[in-house]
Amino acid sequence: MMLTDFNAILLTLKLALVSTLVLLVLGTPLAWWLARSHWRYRFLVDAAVALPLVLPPTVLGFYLLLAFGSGGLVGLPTLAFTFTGLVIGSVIYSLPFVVQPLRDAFVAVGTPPLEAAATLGATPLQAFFSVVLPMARPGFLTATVLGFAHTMGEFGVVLMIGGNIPGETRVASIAIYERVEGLDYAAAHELALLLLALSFGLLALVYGLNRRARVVSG
Amino acid sequence: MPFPAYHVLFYMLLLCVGQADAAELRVAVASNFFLPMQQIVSAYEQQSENTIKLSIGSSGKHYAQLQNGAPFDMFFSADSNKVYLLEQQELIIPGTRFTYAIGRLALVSMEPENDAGAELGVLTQRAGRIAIANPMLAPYGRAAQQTLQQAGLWEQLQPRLVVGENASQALQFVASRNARFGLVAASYLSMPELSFAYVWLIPDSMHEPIIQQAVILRDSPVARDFARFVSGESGRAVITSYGYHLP
Repeated sequence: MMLTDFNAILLTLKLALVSTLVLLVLGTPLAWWLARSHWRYRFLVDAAVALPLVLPPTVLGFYLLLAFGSGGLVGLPTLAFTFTGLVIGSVIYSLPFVVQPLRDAFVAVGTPPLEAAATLGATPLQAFFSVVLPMARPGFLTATVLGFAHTMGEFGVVLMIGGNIPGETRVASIAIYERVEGLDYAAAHELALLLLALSFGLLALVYGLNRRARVVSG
Repeated sequence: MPFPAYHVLFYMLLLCVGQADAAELRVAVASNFFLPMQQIVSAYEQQSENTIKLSIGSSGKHYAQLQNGAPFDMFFSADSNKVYLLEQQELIIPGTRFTYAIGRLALVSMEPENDAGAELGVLTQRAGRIAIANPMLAPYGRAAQQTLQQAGLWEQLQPRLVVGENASQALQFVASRNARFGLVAASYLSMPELSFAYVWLIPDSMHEPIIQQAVILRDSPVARDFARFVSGESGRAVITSYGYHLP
């Protein structure tokens, strides 16, 4: 395998890792709010979070390209063609895959354990970290793996805003696409197979862990 | 209520009659040639019963699809290499390969750059990203690379290049103001919704000619007729109006 293709795989893993971390940090409070809030217009937020599930990635990529470009009008450097730009795109693109499992896990925890914790003198923050987090562990596992895997499979958004820069925005899916378009089917196969094996291994690992977690907690 | 079988038969007959009268041609066309092609098609459909269905895309994608039996009657490629390869694999109708246009490249910007020097010199005078099509995939990308190499700027400008997968994506990067400059197909300059503040047509001597060829993949009188129309007088008039050279 060519070094540039290998680097594309590494970049994909880096993008998935950074995006998943950002998603967990931003997604946890959002999911918590969605699980606990009684605001009558909460459904609008639910719908907005689910949008990336139904929108073609090209729509997202197109609007990001326009948004990044319009920053130039006020003198900001564009985020298109940068790793940071890809992280922003990926966070939006994979948002429902992280927020929805977390929200469902928080809903499943319910109110009684929190009330019990409060009775025992725990602050809400203490209750969250020592009661909710352990109980919602399978949800976090699912959210992490789905967010990571979905970002690894990202293509349309990156194609629109990436600019195919090696080491910066040339991720594996783009490299595979370029190989196919360039009629180099052998190199495309190599990369695609590696990505397939990586994705399957990752999913199998996490689902395996998740099964054990369930056995332990059950 | 049961639907009588002879009704079905009647409608099927109607469909057959319709097909005999006016045929439908499926044409795969390279993205840089989409605008002139639309105009040629509407001119053609005014003087003919036949309809032309266009599929826009990068020629590499169309090539891969054609190798796997995509149902196109004709293929207008952005280069000559892919149709040549199809010919080698005996996937085209022999003797139908023809050059329909010779592409031209232009340096464009949404900002007025005229005060920064002349020609390619603006690229070194002004900072900002430079969008090109992928030199490995798109003939306009290869021409852009050759142009910059011939000007001795390729190495120097390397860190500022952003690469679109095809000619139209390089254009998107400039039009959305994410890249300051673009080396794009000159055919896009005719788009009414695009107003570049700076345009410089690259001299043909700066790169190898971008020879765009077409082929018939599934033979029919309509395909032959349309091929004649494109290389005929009205086709040629449209093609030159979009800045292409004629073969």
